[in-house]
Amino acid sequence: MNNIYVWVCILILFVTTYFTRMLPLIFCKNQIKNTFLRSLLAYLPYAVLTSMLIPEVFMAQYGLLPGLLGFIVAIVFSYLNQSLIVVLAMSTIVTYVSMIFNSQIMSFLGF
Amino acid sequence: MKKERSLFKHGLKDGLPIGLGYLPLAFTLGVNATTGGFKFLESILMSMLSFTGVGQMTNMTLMLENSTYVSIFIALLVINLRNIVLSLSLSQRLGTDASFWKRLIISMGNTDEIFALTIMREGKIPANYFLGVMTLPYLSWTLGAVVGSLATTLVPQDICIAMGMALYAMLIASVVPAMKKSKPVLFVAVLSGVLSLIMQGIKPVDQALINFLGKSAHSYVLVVGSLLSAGITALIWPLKDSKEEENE
Repeated sequence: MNNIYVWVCILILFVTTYFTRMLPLIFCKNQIKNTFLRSLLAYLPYAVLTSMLIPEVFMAQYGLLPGLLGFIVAIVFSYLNQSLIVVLAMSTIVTYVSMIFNSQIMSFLGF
Repeated sequence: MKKERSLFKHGLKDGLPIGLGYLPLAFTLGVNATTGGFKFLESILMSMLSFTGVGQMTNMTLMLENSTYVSIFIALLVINLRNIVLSLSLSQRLGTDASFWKRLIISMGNTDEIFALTIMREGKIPANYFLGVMTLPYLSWTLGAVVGSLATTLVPQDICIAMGMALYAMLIASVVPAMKKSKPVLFVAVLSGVLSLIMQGIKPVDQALINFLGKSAHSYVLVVGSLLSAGITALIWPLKDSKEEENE
């Protein structure tokens, strides 16, 4: 990757992260009145997070099947209210193990 | 003076579990940054400047696709829109000791997890308490990034690849508990997931969008799809009063 590209992207990340946190804390001490806008802002994070997740989680370097298994394990463990570390660890381990098996099965089948 | 110090100390103690939780996450982000082609200094600086896992992950994903500056900016802005919501809530709850300068520092540390912890406190949230809470998580965030960026040479490649899953697991862990509790959240998540799957997962549709919108089609699709599904959900289930927002 180009050096300038990396630095500009780091800067963009900083600006968008910091200013969205800072501006309301400095300038807005009143609640938003418009109900639609307030509702939209409340639901938007979940919409963005999900559309970042799907379908990318199935298309990463580890392959479709390990991705699917890791995805399911992460959902089950978060549904059971496990802590963030447990969710991350379990889904990564399952992905890793199935990745190893996946490549062995594939080579066994002659792919 | 003594009271201020004890508030800060109290915050340090409450922030410790978050700090421990961030360590593997920051480590993973460090590994992924180096695997993605970042130099050590770039990776550390990115972590120190941007105290956000989701933001860093999005930035990395879009950079690897060689997205344009404009589409990266728009995508990150949309993802960080929730920061506005969180900071708006926090802004109304901060105690009178929150001076201009303290607010500038607090802005650095208002992550999802730190917000969730501090907002549970009854009554006003003293600025010194918040500063205490954010200290250890920020330090472990930086430490994790340092170790993760250096570890890539030591960790086998297969494990680095599998650790990519941890980033997605983080997204899942932040959405699923809310989906379980609230019907509108369940609806908005499923709707935007399905929209995204149709627009990016089905080859001909994806190809048509890329032909039409260019290389950064994915980030536009992300923005439009999310706004659409959140808008529909907001029309069906408008929030009733201001209290509900704090529970989100």
